[in-house]
Amino acid sequence: MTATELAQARSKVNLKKSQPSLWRKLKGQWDLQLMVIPAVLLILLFSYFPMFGLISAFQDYNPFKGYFHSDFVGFKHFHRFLNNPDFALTMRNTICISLLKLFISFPAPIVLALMLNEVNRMAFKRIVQTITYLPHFLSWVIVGGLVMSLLAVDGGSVNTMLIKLHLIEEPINWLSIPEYFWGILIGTSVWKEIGFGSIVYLAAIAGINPQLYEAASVDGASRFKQIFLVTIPSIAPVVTIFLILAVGNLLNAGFEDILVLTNNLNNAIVSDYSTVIDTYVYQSAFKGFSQYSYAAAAGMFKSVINVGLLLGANYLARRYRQESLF
Amino acid sequence: MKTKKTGFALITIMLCLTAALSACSGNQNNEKRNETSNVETNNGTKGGNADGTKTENTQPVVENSEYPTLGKEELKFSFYVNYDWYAPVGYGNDPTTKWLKDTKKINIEEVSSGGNAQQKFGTMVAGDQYPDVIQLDRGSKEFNSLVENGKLVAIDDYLNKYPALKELLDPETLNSLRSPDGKIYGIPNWFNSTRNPNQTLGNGWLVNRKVYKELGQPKLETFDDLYAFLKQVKEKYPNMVPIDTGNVTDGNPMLVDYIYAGMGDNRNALPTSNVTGGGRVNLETSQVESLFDDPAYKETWKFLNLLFREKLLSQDTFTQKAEQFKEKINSGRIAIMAINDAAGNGKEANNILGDNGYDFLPLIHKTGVDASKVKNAGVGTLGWNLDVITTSAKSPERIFEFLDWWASKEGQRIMNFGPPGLLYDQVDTNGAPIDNEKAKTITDKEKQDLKLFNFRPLGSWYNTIIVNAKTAQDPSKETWDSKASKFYGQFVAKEINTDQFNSFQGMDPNSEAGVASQQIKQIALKEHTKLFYAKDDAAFEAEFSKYMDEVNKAGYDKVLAYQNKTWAENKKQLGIQ
Repeated sequence: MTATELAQARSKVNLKKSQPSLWRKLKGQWDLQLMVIPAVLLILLFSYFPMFGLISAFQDYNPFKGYFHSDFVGFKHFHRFLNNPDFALTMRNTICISLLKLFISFPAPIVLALMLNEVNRMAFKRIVQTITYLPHFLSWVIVGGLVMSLLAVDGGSVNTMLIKLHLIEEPINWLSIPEYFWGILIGTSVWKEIGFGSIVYLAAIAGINPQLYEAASVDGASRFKQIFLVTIPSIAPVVTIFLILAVGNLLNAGFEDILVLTNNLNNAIVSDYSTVIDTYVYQSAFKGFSQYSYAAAAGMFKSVINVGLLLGANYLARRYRQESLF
Repeated sequence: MKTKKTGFALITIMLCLTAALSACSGNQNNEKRNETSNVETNNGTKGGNADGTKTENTQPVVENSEYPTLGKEELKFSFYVNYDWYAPVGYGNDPTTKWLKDTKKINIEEVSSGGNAQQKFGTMVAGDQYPDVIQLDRGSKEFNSLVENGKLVAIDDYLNKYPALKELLDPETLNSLRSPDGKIYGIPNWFNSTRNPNQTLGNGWLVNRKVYKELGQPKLETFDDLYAFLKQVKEKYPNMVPIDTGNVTDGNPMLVDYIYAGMGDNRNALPTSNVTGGGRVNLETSQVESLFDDPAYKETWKFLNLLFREKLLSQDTFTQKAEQFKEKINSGRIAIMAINDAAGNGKEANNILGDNGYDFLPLIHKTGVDASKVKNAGVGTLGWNLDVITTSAKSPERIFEFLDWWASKEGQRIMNFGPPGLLYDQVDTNGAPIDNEKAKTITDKEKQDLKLFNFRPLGSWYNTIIVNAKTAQDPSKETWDSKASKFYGQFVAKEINTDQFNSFQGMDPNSEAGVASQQIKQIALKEHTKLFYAKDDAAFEAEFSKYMDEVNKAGYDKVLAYQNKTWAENKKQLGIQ
């Protein structure tokens, strides 16, 4: 028995002897707990406390009267939301955009991380990493402005280039062809977030025991095979956690990105493809329509479904992979 | 283990940075800037010095003793402008506001709408915390709700105490401003008076001087002329945007107003050219009627559809940011356009482009329409919007004192020409500044950097008296925008008093008319783009009848009923038949 093994065995015995109480546990790691407090406070302040406002979904909320004096109307606003003619379209867009994000935006950083991991030249790897994660730090407002001027008809760079290359005769109105909207949206969000998203996976890959690769290569696995047999299974737990979170966000198809790419919803020609629940809520409450209660009801409808999806995904992950959030 | 720690630290730093960076990214859109219709007034220059002789009489700038506390005690208040496009000017950073701060002890804290005025206003209401002064639309639902809930200070008593506004405001104007309880809760901004003989207007058509000249200055009177001109431009200048329209508000490109205006008899001088604004005022029947009953409305959209689908009208109409439009106009890439604040936009572009800039044009109209009946605005004494003082203000009377002083000749002079001692030391008998040595030697660039006319909390018609008196000192120095405003002024329908249409948009949002109006706006936002994008005449016809059906179904008749009622009440109040 080596010294370390001995120590491990001893600690196991210790553990069994006396399970430390929760309080003692917390006290033992007081420095870590101290760091958690701000986060807990933030969540209480910005996530739990505002939930009180959900009451307005069941009222005819009047901001001057406040929550305590507005009239209760039950499920009136939910009925209206579910029965409005745009409901089906809004749901379709929300779900389709979310699924596209799940199938394209979610795996994209993983693929990038795997590819970066195979790069041997450190300098090149660093440059690629830096370039790909920089757009993350630009706000959507800037990215939206950039995309809109790149794709503009009057002197937009993309159209100018395609015309100079004689690929098209007349400029294409990219942003006003409804069928292109999803592509532009997903493309932009992948470009913006791919680098930053890959950091987590790169960190997970860095944590893989090199002995596994050595053993695999002794067994005759090629570099390519090593990716599938060593790297991916090793980062699978991380991927699972992020996947559960992504599924829980399924109805959050995006908000800022859609808002800026539709010119603050003014470019309504694409609205058949761009209206999602969040933009619908925003439009109902803040774009000259002031239907606060109605918007609250629509938002709440979305949140409830999201919670259901999250629990469902968590259950499936626990059942089939023995890994889960909680 | 060590690398893991470093990685964690890095991620933490990045997260902090992200938070910090995202905090910097406010101010989404300063668009809709051009939305305001600048109906300003001219007065006073009909007298002695209109012939251009230099005024001999000069007088030193004197302190006004009718304002007891102004400049003596410190005054601090917050000021918020309830528009998406309005951005704070940075109080205290330019010579004028710095002077106000240092010499007059007036410290104004600007509150930004952050590019989303409605959201900002909603937050104020929900938190029951208001800025001391709010500038907002008269008769808007925001204003009405503030009055109903007792959040505003009535200014009736103050009006009698201070000299300027009492003198400037006509009794009829004051009566129109009264709320149902008989009190006055707002100071009109950029208001007018029946004592004004002249009108100027900032809105109209601009044509690219260079292109127009090279194409042989073809006639540009009718829409047929316009169409032919655009076709020529498209053919000969592939990089030029034949016609552009400024910003789109609620799905309404500005050009709609100008095309509808050209369809005949005062169409743009009367409300309204869009279903989002309600119905069309018909002076003959004395009724607010459905816009769909007016064949000109459909014709307007049909013409716009034609321009758009033949790619004569900018294909970026609905997707461009205000900055993109600005870039096009300032680089001389637009052949012709009709926009609000054409005088201001044209001035800016002409400063950059010099001889290759833009010229103003008369309103273009439909073939066969009597050009003398094509008008772009009526005369309203109520002005553009209101400055209101909220109950949050600690010393409302002192704020009123400041605003009254600002409306006076001295205040309006400072607004236009900066504080005394900067470019003038003395004023003439009309109150216009007399250039000092520095004003005679200053370059245009230096003058631009002074940011005069940057801070405008309140405009009164003394403004134009002073500006006109200044021009009269030396007419050869008249600026392009001043000439443009006078030129566009001929398209003001002098006989139409727009005060009678006050509160046309003031319906309670929870009333039947209010709900209908909200739904119509939502429909218009979508349908207007579809009308533009319709591929051929048949598709347009189908889309237009769908549009009409949807608007009618949403309760358009209720909006019309509200406006008919409001109109009748206003007419009664003003004594108009």
